[in-house]
Amino acid sequence: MDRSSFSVKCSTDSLSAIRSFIGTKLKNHCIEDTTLHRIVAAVDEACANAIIHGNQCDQCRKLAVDLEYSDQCVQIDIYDIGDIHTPSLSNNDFNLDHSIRHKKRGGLGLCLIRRLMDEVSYYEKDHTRVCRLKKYLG
Amino acid sequence: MGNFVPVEVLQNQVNGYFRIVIRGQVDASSAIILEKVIKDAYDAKRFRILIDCSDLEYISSAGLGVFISFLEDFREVDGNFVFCNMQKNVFDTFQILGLHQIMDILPSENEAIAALYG
Repeated sequence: MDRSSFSVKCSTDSLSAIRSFIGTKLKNHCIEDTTLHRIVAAVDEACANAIIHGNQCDQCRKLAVDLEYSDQCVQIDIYDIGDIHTPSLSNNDFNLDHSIRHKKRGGLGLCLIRRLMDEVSYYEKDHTRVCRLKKYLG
Repeated sequence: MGNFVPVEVLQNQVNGYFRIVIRGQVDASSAIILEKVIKDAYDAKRFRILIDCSDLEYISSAGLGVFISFLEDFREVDGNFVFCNMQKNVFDTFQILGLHQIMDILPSENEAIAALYG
């Protein structure tokens, strides 16, 4: 199991650096291109949620991303000290037809994360919120 | 996904439709640029929009949300926006959310122009 860590300030301007970090680290692991893109997209969405909704883009705060990868699995833990709330992971949260009809976009990011990854969970550890994303390979 | 390219949105009016080219990566930071272009087009009554995605490398839910929230506005006035030349990974994101069944995504610009008037 290989591990890498990355830390950024809580700003949406940090998202490109996070995508670059995940993409670069996983690129040499023979992960199929679509799978790699899906992992990067899911991490981007989860980090954007934490930065915007958990930390209100407070640049004095930090967001940490831990990446673990083996031949079987990629696991990403995203740590932040923002508002400790667990986003609902219910499958019924996002309805595309309803969103289009009512010109709404809420819940889209979480829906995307759920569909891009195999496992998504949120938990609290030492007053820190952790979002864990898992993708099984092969 | 290559090196980070900040999003750039080019626009010009072509024979009866409005053409937008999105380049780079649209995320929660840069979606506001895309939103302004789409809103300005709507306010200017440019209701038929062709969106060339040849150089669009990445789009997050923030960018997709712009299209979702404006689609009904355009359709209410018998307008539409049509995508073309979409890269595989960008199309994959549209597909995962089922947007490919609701929005017009065509392989080529000529097909997209035809769909705008279809």
